[in-house]
Amino acid sequence: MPFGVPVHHFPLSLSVGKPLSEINDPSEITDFNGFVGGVHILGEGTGTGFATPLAFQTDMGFMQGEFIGEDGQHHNRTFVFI
Amino acid sequence: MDIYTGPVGSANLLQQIHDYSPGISSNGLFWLVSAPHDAVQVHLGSGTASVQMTDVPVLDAHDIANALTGGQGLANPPIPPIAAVPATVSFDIEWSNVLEQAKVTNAMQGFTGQFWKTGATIKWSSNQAGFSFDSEAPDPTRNIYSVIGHEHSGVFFH
Repeated sequence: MPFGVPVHHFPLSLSVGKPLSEINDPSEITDFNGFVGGVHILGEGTGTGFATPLAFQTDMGFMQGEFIGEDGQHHNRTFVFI
Repeated sequence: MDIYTGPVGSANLLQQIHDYSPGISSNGLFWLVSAPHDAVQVHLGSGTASVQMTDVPVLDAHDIANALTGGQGLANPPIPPIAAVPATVSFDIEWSNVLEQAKVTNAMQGFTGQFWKTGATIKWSSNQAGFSFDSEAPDPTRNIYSVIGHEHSGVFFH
């Protein structure tokens, strides 16, 4: 509950060396059966108006497969977490 | 997708100047966009996957505090309220180089599946009125933690 705001998101891992067995759920949706991916990368780049590099952080992922929607029906879709 | 004025590795809220996300839907969907099926390629047998999308409409909330509070800012730490502005992002994420493979079951979070811990790279950019950003060339050494897999959760958890 960051800043007191409830969200459904489990960061994959906050530690580089954390074993795979201790990961959090990579999926942003429940009642899900399919492929998932998650990535946490820190890097740098160039931005308009800045003479020196800017830092970036990306915590992203994907879900592709079957899920139960709010309508109670089975769906098959692809989602990207940005 | 966050941008900071600090050096690489910094993710300090007080140094954040851009925070791109699709926003939080009224039904609670958190920072998700629906994507074309072929935007995601997964090959678990070789431990690889990719996601490629171009000019995805998002909101720039300036910082994660305003992203989560709907532009209300925070009292502590002091983050002024800032209204989100429209932007677009493009990205190419590649997962490869398997480091570990395991079946993972977490009954508390209600998911189980086969997962591959891998290396990963990203190349991304953003565009909005008065600002654009281009990330450095894909660099495997920037990866902190990356996973691909196939899972079952909720009613599919068994």
